[in-house]
Amino acid sequence: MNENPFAVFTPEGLDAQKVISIFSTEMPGLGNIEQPGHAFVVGTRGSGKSILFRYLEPDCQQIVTKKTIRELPYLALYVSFRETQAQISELARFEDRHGEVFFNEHLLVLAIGARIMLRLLKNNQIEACAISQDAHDQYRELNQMLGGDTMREPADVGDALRTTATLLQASYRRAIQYVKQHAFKTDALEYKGDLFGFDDLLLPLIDFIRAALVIPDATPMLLLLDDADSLTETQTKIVNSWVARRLSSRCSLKIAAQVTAYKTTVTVYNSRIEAPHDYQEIDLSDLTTRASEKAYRSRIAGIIQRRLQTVGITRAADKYFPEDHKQKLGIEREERRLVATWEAGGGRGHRPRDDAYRYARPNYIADLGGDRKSRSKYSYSGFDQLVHISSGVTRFFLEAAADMYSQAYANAARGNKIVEIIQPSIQNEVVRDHANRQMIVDLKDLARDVEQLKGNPQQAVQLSNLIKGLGSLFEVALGDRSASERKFFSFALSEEPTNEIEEVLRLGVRYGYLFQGIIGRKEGAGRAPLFVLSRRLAPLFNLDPIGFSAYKFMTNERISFLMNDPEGARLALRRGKGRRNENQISIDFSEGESNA
Amino acid sequence: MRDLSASELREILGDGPLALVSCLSFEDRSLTVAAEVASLNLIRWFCIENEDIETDITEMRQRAMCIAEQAGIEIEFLNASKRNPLILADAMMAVADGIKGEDGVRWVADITTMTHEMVLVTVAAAVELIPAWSDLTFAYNVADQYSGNDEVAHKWISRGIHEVRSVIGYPGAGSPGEPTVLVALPGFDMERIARIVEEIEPECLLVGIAKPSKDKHEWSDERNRQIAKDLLGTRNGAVFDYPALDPFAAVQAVVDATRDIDGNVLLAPLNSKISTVAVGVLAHLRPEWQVCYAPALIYNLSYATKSDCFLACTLGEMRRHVSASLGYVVGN
Repeated sequence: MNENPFAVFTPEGLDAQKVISIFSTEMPGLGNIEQPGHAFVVGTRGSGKSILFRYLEPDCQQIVTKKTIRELPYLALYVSFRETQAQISELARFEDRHGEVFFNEHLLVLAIGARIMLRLLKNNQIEACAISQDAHDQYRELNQMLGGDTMREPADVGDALRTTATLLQASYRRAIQYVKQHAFKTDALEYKGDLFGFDDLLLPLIDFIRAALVIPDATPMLLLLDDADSLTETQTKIVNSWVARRLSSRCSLKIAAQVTAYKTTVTVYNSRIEAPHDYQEIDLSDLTTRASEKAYRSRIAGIIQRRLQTVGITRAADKYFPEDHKQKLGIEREERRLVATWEAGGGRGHRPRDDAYRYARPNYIADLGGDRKSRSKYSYSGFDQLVHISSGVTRFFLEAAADMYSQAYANAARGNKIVEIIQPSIQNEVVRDHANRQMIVDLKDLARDVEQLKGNPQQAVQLSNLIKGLGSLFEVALGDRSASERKFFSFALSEEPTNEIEEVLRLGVRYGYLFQGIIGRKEGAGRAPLFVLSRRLAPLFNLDPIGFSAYKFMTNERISFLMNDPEGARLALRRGKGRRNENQISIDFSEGESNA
Repeated sequence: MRDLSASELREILGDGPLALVSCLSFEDRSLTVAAEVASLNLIRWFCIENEDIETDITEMRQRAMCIAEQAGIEIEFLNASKRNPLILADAMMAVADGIKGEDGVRWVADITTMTHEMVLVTVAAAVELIPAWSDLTFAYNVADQYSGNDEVAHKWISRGIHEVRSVIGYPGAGSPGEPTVLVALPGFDMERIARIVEEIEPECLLVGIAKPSKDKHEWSDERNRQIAKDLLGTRNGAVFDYPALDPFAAVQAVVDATRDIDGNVLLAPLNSKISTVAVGVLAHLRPEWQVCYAPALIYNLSYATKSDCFLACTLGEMRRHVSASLGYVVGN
């Protein structure tokens, strides 16, 4: 097959030209992150953290700005904690022991130092530059500290960087050999090797890079630490301790992590780092406002068009992913009817377009039929639907688009292997398939009752029950023409969750079924966690993925009911269908009792 | 490696004093070897039990204790944990202390229902810690069927992973900044490999596909190839083949696939337990290679059914074959 324009590659491995061709400069926080000062870039997996960091690297920036490396407004040095190896299990032997922090910091600074140097060499043409006296002096000091051959003169900057990286790698391997000896030992062996830290190794390394590349003193040095949620808790505390320091003149830390997976905000001194005092926070997957939704749509459209251009297709994103024509006409017809009804005095919203926006699509879905099977004729096609289904995560859109492209390519007539458009039928099929694949477990796979399971399987079943219960609730609400609010995708907790519920919700967020936000409590006191169902799951329940949705407060009792008694919840839902209560989702949790 | 019947297995194990280390799980197969060995001269039985197992195995425990009673011994339980790999390592240290001075005993490790991590830790303990295990016999009850009567498209072994971590004893000696080469050996559980790849994001991915010897397992070959193809669509790498349930061929294939590779090699053995033993031995001869493992979030409780077919191999045999693959001689 010709190159799939939507293929999702790991950004670290892409060359600079490729990155520039696909990167969206509308990425939130792009201007801010380039400034001195520490920052956390948070977002779900696939929201664009890594490609943002990749774009900041000097090889990309030289192309973007048409400047040389020493003329750049900042120099970004990139490290991913995901790359290379898995977490070393023997390190757990040092937990809560004397020296634990020092040793972990030693490993961290060695690994970071080696990686940034080798990456600079790999991606930039700096090999043959002559080394200045200042850089030479710093090189000798580092060389001596790392046990290198102090008599050997570096040939040039590239040689100096490479030699230093080699020494860092050797020191790292020696440290790992010490760790390895603890596989079958409970007592810590005496350590006689080096112990380096941020101050005595990493900062001098960054200073050395500045001198070697002749970067002006006023140019900020940005240390980009990607996938920081891969760090252990101790390692995370160490990095937090670096953040807590005022270092911007020498080095600004930009740390990317999945917000729910970053282990802690505590430092090794047991203090806590906080925004904005210690760092700026940039959230790439914030879709809680209409403005951010619009910005996301615009960004995706730009990414799609840019990617299509790489294969010679010049078509706007919404034309490349058209909605099912019959469905589109049907929805437009319903919109006109709603507008006419409003104008005749029978509307609900402030303006006729409000009713059209809120009810046309839900009415269309409801009119397809009374049961789920009939409503499965609804087509999840069209750029707008696909944008909403991707739930604010760029990767979700691209992964689906890549599958659609592959299918369209396979279906294309022989001899004509250019995919000029993705047919609505293919879009719908792929979106529904992705929704089905997202569920970790189908209830029938686990042939035991929830009560007999423990731990993760129990939580997975509870999560599955909860998602299906919520989906069914929202499906019924969508079809209730008597309700003014029919589009639900979220619920908020009206009280502190129980441990059981918290574990299940955490699993849901971790696996992308739920997104977590914060809203103000109805009573005005404090804030409550908001959980938004992933719109990728919309096809499972024939929900309308488009537009800002309502939410409902739920108590622990209600959530527990959905989690642990799916059959009871299903019956309660049936009983509640007939109820007409404008302020509630219609579900009768128990006879005579009002809803959450 | 040829299939053995139960009687052939008993014959190989002989009449002398035997000691067993096995793992208790929700599967019937966790007691198949024990049931055979109990009729021989079994004098000791260490049984690994996951302290955070997520289903009730009380009945299986009682059945195990009945088998032990018939053999006239008591089971000594060893703790392990899906979340904390140090617990099994500590248990192995206790075993090492507890069996000092016991000579003339043939030690058998029933690896059938051990996790791959447990298998690798057992190999590491045999190589580094427990001299009495220097020629440990590994026994394995081949599965008849996986994932019950599910249709091929719906067969599953596990879902999700907790984390990816190195196995105790196999941290490797990688050089930060060099490219990562992940050598993945999936079995019937390709999803776990896909999750590992997502977590590690290697620069190069080599996928070893085990060609099943039985037609009824052909579904795994097709599925694994498709998933490997999907993963390699956006990554550098390649696929290589080897015959399933042949650990020597598996190791040879891994050695051949990595011969000209530069970078940090990371092994993820999730094929048969017997091939994981071979990978463990290989990694001890190539200590710069790291071996990793990802505990599954959920296992299919209808994982596999037992058969009347066994495999057995000693650590010495394994070492000789692996050394030959690497092209050098290792003393006994």
